[in-house]
Amino acid sequence: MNVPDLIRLNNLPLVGKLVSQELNLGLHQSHRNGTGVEFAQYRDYRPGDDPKRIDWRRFAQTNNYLVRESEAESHQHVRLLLDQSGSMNYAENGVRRLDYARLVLASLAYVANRQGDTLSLSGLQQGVLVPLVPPGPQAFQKVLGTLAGLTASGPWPAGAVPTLPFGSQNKTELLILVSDLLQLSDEWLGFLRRAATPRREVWLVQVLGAQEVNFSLSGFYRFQDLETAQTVEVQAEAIREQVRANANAYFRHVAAQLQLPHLRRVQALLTDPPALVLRALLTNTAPLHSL
Amino acid sequence: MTFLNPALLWGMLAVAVPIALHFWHQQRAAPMPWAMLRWLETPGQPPRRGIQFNNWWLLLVRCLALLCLVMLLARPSVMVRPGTETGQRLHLVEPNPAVVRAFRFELTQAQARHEPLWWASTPTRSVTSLDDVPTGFSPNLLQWQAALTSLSPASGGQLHTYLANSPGWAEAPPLQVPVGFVLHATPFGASGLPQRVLALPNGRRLLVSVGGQLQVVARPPVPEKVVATAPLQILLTCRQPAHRATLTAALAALKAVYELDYSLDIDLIKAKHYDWVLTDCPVPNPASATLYTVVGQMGDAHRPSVTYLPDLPTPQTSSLVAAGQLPEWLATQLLQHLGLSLPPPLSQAALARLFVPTANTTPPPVQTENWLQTAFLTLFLSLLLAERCLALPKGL
Repeated sequence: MNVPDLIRLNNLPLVGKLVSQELNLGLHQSHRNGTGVEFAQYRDYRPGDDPKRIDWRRFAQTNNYLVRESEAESHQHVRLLLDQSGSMNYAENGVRRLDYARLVLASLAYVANRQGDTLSLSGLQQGVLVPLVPPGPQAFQKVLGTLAGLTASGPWPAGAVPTLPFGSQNKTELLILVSDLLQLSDEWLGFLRRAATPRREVWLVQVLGAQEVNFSLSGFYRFQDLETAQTVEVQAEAIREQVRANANAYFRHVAAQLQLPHLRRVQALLTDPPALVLRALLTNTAPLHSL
Repeated sequence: MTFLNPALLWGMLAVAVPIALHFWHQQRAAPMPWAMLRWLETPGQPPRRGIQFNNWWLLLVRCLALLCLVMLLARPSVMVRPGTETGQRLHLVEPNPAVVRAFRFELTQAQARHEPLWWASTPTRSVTSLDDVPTGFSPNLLQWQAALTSLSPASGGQLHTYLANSPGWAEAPPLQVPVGFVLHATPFGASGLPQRVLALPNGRRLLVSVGGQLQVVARPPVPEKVVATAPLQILLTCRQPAHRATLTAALAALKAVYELDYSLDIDLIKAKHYDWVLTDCPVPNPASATLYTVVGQMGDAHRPSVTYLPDLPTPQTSSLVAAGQLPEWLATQLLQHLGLSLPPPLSQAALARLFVPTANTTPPPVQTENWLQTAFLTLFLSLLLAERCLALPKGL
């Protein structure tokens, strides 16, 4: 299914399920067996195992030293973060960047929920990190419900520095950010540099429009800024080369600055199928577009 | 190509509407929400848009469609008279050097094309040389009618007739001419006919000018025809002395104003020729060259040389005498008798109206060609289609 169809469904749980089922991929490598509550299997005692783990009741029945194993509980906290600045309202061919971001986040939430990870949702409004859904029981349902009602508006005020709360000691955190990374100064870069730490992996989905990447408009346009009320009336052909040069320079700058450890970045156009974008993100393969 | 509704061609001015709409539409900028306004800012002056034709093919097609619609509404038609250009041409020329001089170019061209030329004589004679004009022959109306009837061109042909616009045509009845008759008349005043004058003593001439004015001129006109010479021989036989005195006074008035000299006889001299006889007795057998004016009697008008003044020439009985108009009336009778006062020549249009194409072969009806309108309709519809094909992909 292509992007406009997915958006027209207007049903984030269904869309998340559809997209994640195309993937058959998880957020982390594989199951780990260990101590836990939920029973998984018995296996023979091997030297090195803690003798406390021998199930003596099974020894009495079978005269074998068996160790009770259960599925290890995930200690991963997946924190979904949505950029809610005004530039997310940019639309191209009927596809709004905010809708596309919702779609990607819902699919990721579905994948995380299938693996039993702890989920939470935050939004970034006007340079402030707003917790929208705290981690807890039924967080998955709440995330999907909250995502459907989110709007985007306003700029990133100069000097605003959002702070990320630290998670619990025994859990690693995966921060997944969907944004356009369009900034006036380097506010996004500073935020990401602080966010990516050994305890916190950062995955980044940068959503852009085709006109933003490869400016090919022609005609007389009144460009209206989505975050401020500024307008510029200009003949598109006259500034085409200039805009392309500016955009390329910006994307090169961002790409160079985001060569950080613990940071994974995928660029997506509004026309790309979300499943392909998620596959590139989850498998950390080559980027879809070389901007 | 002509139009049945030419006034509707003003509608072509409506072409300005799509052009104006085009530029007006161009003036409005399409709104475009944009995330990174900073990229659009160029270092120098922001480039403004000038007049330019984007979609100018579409504009052209729209203008053409509008023009086509206007032409279609104005109902174009082609007037076709079959065989007009291909038919035989006949040329009938009045044997008059002035006419040949006036139309020498046309006649020479016709001779070069080996088209038949005829003199309008009775019977018509073929023209051998334009320099060899038959002299002393001026066709009257009956002869014209005979010549025009005898030379009937074949169907689709043309009969070109060359004649002088002489005053004689003024009172002519309409003539029957064959279909395809084309009239070439010499301009007004170039008839080439001699001016009829009355010769006065000492070389002066009495004539009626072009404006209808009776004038005494010192220099005689170049082609002139002297119809009478003064002094006129006048016989005045009135029994009443009062009548005789009135008429004598009237004649004296004419002499005083127009130098019209005369010799007056009271008694008839047998062997003498009189130009004008004024009498109060009936005239049993008038001589044709003499003008008879009978006063105090009624008479019929079938004899052109005899005119009647019904009243006795006294101020009590005649209003003419009472008003002092008797000399004027007498002079009018004399001028008409001598043929000096001819009616002014007809205008070209009035002359052309005298020649009525006969209905024995009715003129072929003017065929309004319908294919032209069909072609315009087809063109209009195809332009409309092309306009839609151009406009729809662009969403205009």
